[in-house]
Amino acid sequence: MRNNLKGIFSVLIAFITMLIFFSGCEREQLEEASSEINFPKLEGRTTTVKELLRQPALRDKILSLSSNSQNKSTNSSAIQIDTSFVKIIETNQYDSYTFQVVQDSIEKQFVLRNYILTVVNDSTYVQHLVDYTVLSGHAYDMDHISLTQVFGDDLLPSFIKCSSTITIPYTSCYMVHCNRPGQHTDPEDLDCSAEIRAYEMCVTRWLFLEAGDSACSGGDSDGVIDDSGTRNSSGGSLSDDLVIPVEPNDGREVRPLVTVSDTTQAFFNTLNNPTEIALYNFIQNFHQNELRREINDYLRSGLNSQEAQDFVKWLIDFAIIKEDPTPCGWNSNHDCLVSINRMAQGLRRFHGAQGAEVAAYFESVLSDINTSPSEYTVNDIQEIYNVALNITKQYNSRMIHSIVVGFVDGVTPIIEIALFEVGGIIAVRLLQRIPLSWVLRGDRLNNLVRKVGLMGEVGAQNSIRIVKTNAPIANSRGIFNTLTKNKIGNFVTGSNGSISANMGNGNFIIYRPVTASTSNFPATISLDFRAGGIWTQVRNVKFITP
Amino acid sequence: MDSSQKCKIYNTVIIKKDLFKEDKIGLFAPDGVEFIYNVLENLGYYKDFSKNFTTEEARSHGLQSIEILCDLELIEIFSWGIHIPKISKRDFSKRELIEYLREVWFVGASTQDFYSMPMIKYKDWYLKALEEKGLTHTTHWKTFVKEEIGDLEQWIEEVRP
Repeated sequence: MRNNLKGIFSVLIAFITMLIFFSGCEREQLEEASSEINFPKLEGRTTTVKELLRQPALRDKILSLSSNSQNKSTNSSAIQIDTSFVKIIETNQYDSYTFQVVQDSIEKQFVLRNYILTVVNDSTYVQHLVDYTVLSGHAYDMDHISLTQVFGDDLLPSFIKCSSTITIPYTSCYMVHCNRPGQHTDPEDLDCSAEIRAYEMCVTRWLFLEAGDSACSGGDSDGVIDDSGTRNSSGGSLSDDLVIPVEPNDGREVRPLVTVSDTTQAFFNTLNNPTEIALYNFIQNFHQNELRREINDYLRSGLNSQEAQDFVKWLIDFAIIKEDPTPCGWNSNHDCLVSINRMAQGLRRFHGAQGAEVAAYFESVLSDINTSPSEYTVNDIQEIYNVALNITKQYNSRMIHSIVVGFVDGVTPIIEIALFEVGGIIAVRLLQRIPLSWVLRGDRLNNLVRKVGLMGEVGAQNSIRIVKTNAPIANSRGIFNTLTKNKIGNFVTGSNGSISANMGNGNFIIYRPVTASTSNFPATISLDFRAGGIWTQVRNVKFITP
Repeated sequence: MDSSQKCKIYNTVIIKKDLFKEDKIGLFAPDGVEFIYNVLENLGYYKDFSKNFTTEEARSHGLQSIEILCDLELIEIFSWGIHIPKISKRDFSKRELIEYLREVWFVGASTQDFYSMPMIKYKDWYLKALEEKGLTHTTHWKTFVKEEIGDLEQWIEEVRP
């Protein structure tokens, strides 16, 4: 086996030398050449950690890395692995186990990190950390993988220990089998349904060549660095070269595409053109199987008109926006204002009068941002973007499920999102922009008032809410004006500066720019909706600077 | 004539001890007396629908409570409302104030009517003492009194300038 690997290595070194010599070589040439190499035959499967723990040789390593005692704060190079989903690549020379590394949510937006434990001849352990840059649509940048060999339990990276690595890409396929009908090899995989049995899985892999560790050993290439970080030249030793295919483990299994009707697939195929190729690539990805099912149901429902097809294109376009993990930022690649504008266009085009109203609302908010950009932080923009995303998602979801144009009521979720999921200053700004039809008297207004009465934090007593905002008077007055758009009669101004609005059925909203409690509540909105059955007491929402 | 004699015609008479009970302690919160309806809310009106806050009894209970707060020298007038009497907002006699309130607070007054009536505030020394004790805008009042002050009536006497 060792000779075989040396042979492979020789071929590859020659190939890489050629690559360096012909530095202008195109990528296609590289892949074509690499496909000629006789790689070890691969078999792949997924498993649970329970199975691995039955192997004494793996048990200690897995337990130590999955333990909570592995704390980043105590050891900067330590990692913690997620053992819920393990990918195994098996060859006649080695087995490799790929785990997800536990990452915080922010880091995961940008990079997927895996830990690969490769066991050679059942005795030698080689460890790698692999970073995949996250692209949109659950895709990873397979052309720029960062692969680092690590050593020992402290997982020191290779550049400290000295090791040279070379990587070149290639694609290979293997069969994922089911050991009985409706089940994969892992009987605990509940997602394995009868319709998905054995299938061929083709993935882009990276060939990892380790040219011994000559950089550390001064040319001594007989031994290898084993798991404990010491040189191992005894039985079971690794050859000078190692070929490790890597495959991203993001906790999801690669599955075949859900089959759609000929008509639907024909429609998808029409997207395979230079202007819509992004839509095509997105929908032809197994990660979008749920969306494929939904679109298939939608188009099969008799609505396969040009309008329906345009709506489906919008759905795919929106899904691309939705799954873009790049956070908003003035200088980032993700211009969220453009994305919000795209959502507005889709809402106006496909969601009837209410969609047009929401679109106008989005555009009004965008106009504010463009007029006074300095008043909005990147976080504000991100929150507004998230609100727009959630609202649009709900509209699309209703559309697809109802398979009719028009909605019963789109107001409630919009308000709930604006006030609960966002909160604070942005909720105030979004509230001030909502159109009249959302604050009509009756249930709609009561619903909105109920949410406004829960803004901010509870005050000294349950009937008091404290909202902190940089412009308490302007913002509270803005909300008051919004809530009272449909008042009965005129405002009634009191001698203490209070302004009262009769909202009908015994309900009142009062704004006052003074407080008698302490001197630093610049403004209060009192919601007297006892008649509406919302609260037994008058709700006071007090505005104050942070 | 003290308040207990004056109000004997009603089922209940508000005495100082009542106001310091847990169910009415909200009256002493910084916002507890801002409008007349706040006083009534903290006396249990509004929450309890069987207690009609527009009755003469409710008004009597409210005025008795304000009298007690006057006796404790805790309150002053923040604004008079529609009708402005020739009374100092700070240096008034209890009799003057109660007579004036009885005049503007008519039986049957609604919450909306209270907005055009006097606004009351706690004196600065009281608010400042509470702040120094750790009270913020978002501190739960009842918990604060229970855990940080204990006997509020006694504490008021201790911090009174």
